[in-house]
Amino acid sequence: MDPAIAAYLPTLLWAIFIGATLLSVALGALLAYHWFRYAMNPTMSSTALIIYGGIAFFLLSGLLTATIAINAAL
Amino acid sequence: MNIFFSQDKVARTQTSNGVNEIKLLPEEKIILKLRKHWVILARDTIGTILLAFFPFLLLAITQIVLPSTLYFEGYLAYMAFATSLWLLILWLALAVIWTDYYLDLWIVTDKRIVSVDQVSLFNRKVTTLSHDRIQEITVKEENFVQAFFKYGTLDIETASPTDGDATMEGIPRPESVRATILHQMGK
Repeated sequence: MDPAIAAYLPTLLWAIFIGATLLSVALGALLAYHWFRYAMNPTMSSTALIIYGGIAFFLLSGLLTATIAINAAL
Repeated sequence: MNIFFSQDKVARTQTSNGVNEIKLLPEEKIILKLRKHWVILARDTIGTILLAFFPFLLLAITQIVLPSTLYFEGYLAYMAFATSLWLLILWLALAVIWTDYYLDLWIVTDKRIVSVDQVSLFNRKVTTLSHDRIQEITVKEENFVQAFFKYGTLDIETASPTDGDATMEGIPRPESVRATILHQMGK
């Protein structure tokens, strides 16, 4: 890999990971506001929040693991 | 029984705290609570779900066409990073689509119809139509899919300049809903 790219790649990957995390949390908060404010069914809102949070957490874990693995390989 | 047309759900709605958001009138009873048919949700999400297979398809094609390009150091980690990011973006998009679907609602009471249209996040339109103002109810089933899955569009025209008209696409069993509204209007 080009040394110029390799120097900036860890920063870029961490920036993408942090950006994705912030986006997931912010959107989750917005959606949770809508579910609990308007859905008229607290059980459904809680279930939706658990499923959303669980899958987002799983995917963010994959992203974090890949970021650490790439940084270790550089 | 169709879950979108269930009397049990109506009962739960009446007892949940959230129904206060609609602000029922004194002595008003909820007759029906309607959501769009699940086919509408499937139609809106199928493209996003199919896009989830894109990274795996790309990997398979690359392995067949250009296998030598894949095996650089740490390629699996790069693939995992790109795939996780791609799936996360699609998951967020699916959550927004489902929210738009789930928060669209029609409530038919013994006095009026309340149409809640969640256009997008923070764009919500609530329309109320009094039964005594309704002039015409039109049911449209326009193609084979709608006829097969028994859903359609319900158009309600009113005489009131302030109430306006209401249209809801993807209503399950629209003929039955129309009959219920006509029955309530005749009371």
